[in-house]
Amino acid sequence: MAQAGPKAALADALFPDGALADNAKVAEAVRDAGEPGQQARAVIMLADQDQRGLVEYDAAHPLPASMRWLVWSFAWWATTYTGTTAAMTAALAEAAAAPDGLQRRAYLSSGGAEALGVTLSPFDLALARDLRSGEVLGFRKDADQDTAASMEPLLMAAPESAALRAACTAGCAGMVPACTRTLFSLMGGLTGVISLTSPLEAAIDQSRYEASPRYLMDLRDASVRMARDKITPAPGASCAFALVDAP
Amino acid sequence: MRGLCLAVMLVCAPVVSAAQGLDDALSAWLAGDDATALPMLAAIADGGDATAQLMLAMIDLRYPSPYILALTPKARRAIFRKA
Repeated sequence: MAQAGPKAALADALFPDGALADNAKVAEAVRDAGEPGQQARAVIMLADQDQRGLVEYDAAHPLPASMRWLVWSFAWWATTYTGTTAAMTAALAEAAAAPDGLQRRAYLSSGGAEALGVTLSPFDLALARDLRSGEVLGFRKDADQDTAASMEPLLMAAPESAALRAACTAGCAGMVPACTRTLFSLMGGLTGVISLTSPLEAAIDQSRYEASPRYLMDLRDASVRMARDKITPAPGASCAFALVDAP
Repeated sequence: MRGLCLAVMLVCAPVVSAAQGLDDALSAWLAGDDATALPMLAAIADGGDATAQLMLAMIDLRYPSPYILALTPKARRAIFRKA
């Protein structure tokens, strides 16, 4: 791809010749090229493969506000690898000062909570898990771990789930909270939702993509990769399934 | 028949101005109409448009649509070879 300017830099970052690209370098290059969605994808891959690398990357190039919880979560690994508590201390301070929204709740874990001096109930831990990776719909839980009632108001207010709410408002009027929670879970939680981005924001901005039929098609594709046969739809969820199953 | 349609699209698409053609192709892709969008993008990419080339490359990296899955290897190469 012989081009000049930002598009050449973007192409070189995304489609390098030869060796496998380093995800931190890809994230940096696509951010500089004005592609935050592709940056998010590269960062998530980096977090999957190299937690210390993610924290080091963030120190040089702070992650977008919507992805801070990844750094909070993985600062512990940086401590383990490097023997310094600086990254952990900074992450804990930032998490403690953050609004009590989706990210802070998703970050919570027994280790992080102890470090913050917070006592967590089994319910809080279950809610954090379900926000990070999606609720297992219909899976029998103990009563103190049933997060459904608490997830819905959070998802109805959070900016991260705005596109899901819009899709549900258009297709499942009257059942928007349950529809939004179901789509959120089908996407695999917070990580999956922020991974669903325009392929090229220089050509199609994220809001145009999210308002398009293609967004619903991509929701459907992501959903079918979940273990659908293991999911028992909760009341009100059937409309969400119909929405992603529609031809 | 699908190959013939693709060939016709590839020949005819450059007649449209590149900017208008790209916008039409992106709109078709957003509408979920891969059969219209992808041959149009391929024709524009063939003309050297970097945005169309990148767009095709990014689409090729995504989970394949039913339209893409149904393409023969030759037809798929015809669309994505420049990407």
